[in-house]
Amino acid sequence: MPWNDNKGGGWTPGGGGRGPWGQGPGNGSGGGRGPNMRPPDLDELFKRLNEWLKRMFPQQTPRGIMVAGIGGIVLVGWLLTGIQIIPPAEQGIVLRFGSFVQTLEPGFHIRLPVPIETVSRVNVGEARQVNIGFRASAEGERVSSSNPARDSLMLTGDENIMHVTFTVQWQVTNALDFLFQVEDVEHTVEAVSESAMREFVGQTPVDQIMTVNRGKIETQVRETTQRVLDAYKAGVTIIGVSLQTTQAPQEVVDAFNDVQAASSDRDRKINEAQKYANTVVPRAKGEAAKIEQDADAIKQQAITLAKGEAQRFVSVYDQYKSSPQVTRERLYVETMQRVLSKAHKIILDGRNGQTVLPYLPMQGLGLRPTHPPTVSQPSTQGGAQ
Amino acid sequence: MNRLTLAGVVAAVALFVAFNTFFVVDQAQQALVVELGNPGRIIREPGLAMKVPFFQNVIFFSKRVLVLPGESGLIITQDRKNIIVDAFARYRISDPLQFYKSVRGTEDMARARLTPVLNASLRRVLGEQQFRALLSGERSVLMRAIRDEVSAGAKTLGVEIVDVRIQRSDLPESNLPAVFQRMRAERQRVAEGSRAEGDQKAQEIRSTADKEATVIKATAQQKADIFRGEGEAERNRILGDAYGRDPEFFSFYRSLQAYEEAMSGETTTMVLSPDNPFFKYFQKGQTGGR
Repeated sequence: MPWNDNKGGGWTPGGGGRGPWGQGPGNGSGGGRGPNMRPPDLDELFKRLNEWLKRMFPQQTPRGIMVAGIGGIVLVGWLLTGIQIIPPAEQGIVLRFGSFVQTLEPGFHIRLPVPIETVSRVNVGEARQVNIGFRASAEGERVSSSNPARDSLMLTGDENIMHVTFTVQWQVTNALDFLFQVEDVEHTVEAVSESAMREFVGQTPVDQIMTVNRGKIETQVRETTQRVLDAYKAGVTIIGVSLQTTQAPQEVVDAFNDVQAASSDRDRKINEAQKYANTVVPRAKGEAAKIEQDADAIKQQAITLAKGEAQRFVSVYDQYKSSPQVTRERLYVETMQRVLSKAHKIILDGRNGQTVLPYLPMQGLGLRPTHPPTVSQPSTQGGAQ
Repeated sequence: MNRLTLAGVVAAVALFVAFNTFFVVDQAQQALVVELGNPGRIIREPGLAMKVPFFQNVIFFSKRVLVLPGESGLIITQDRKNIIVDAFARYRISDPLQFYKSVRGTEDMARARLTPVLNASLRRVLGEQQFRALLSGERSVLMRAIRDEVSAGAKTLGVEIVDVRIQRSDLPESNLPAVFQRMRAERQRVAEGSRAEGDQKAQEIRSTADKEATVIKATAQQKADIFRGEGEAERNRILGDAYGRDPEFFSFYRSLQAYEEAMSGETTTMVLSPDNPFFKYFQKGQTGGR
């Protein structure tokens, strides 16, 4: 009540019985002009006002004029409490005798003075953040836990225990609801989102929490929190939920790390095998191509040679056909000439040698003595027929 | 001066009466007007309101959704597992008169009455569940069941339970070592499985590659043999065509070629009979013929 603030007031002249009237507006003007003024400043203000009044109205001034003067100043001060300046990103909720009248957008407004209308300002542009399960380094952010190491432990769907910390970003979207519908909205946001997080973490196996399902959990928590807060008519919008850390407790962290290591071992082994496959198969293909080409070459060679051979024969044969006897004789004689001209020849008369074993002087034949001479014995009758 | 003093006194009295007549119900409030101790009107709409001065007084109640923090407590589920559950509720004063009668209109009293109700129904509803149910989609169903149960108990207090939510559900501290041991074993199993899978997949890839290589080479060998056969066949056909014109001459011609090839070496020593046809003119000279 206004007159409780009268400690510092020096309202000696004529102010006697009019306490409430005198100080009410004075207090109101202080509160209305700047909501950031605090009671100690008011005391200071009254003192200065008192001194100023003494200078303005010396002892000689009649009391009536003085009272009127004070009254006028107080009245003006009171009316000034109707001036409202709403900073950007804020909204002002106007209550007339406690009842909502209007929402003020940023800017300059003239309203009815204080006891009749009061304005509560709410920052609706600011994205507010609450960290759950860990302490943020930045000051001024709300933190849910006094013992983060233990309090961020959550039970997962497969009855494992994980450290889960996350942040919730939210914003006031309905200043009226924010102010009047729910007690302690900030704490409510925190409690509801933590509850939702624990609910969904409790449905998700640990492997999925650490990997694939993070985004899904974030979405679910955001939607659930929003739904619950809407049911409370909290007037806020959850902008986002983001998981900060999901890690195993200290006691088992090495086992979890080993899973990671095993996973990369597996990948490495597979990669190595893939590398092997990538060399073996092309190499086999190369070898296969060589085998095929070689065989093809042999085929082509055989055919080409055959063609040549055939052609040669045909040429000879054509010639032969024109004069068979002569050609035949000539071919025989020519060949024998070539064969016999190179070979060592021994001509034995078979009829003389019937009884006497002919002695062949092998050494004299010009053969190397160490090697017994090979004697080829072409059929003596060969061609004799 | 006297008139001024009188006016002051009158103004003070008027003000005092006015303060006792008019009252403001805030946007977040509802009010109950009590006449000489007997509850009367309920004012739910915010704004300026009046009452009979001195005979009536006003009690204000919050219209907001209010916090009912729960206590964390040990719950034994139906399958005899211990779990520490901590829940909170949100409530609203729906019937100020009832609220006033039952808890003398103070929120502290209301909390003191509601908290045991919340805890009891938490214990009862969750105690009938399997442990697994708490870690599943059923949780929201359970929360609704608890809410309905607490609502029934809260009706006599003039309070409406807006929501009950399970905040935490943790295993007792004494269970943690066992849980950590199990987690460790599970992780080891996963790691081993992962490594074995790596070996298996690697082996599969390698053997598939080897098989593929073998098949590729065999196919090539097959083609090569076909080529060779084709070459051979073609060769035979070509030569057959050529030689087929005169098999007798071919035999002669080819034999001559073979003699030349076979006996071309300088080391060949031939013992020849003078009867050899090659020598037919060697002996007979000019006589000719045979």
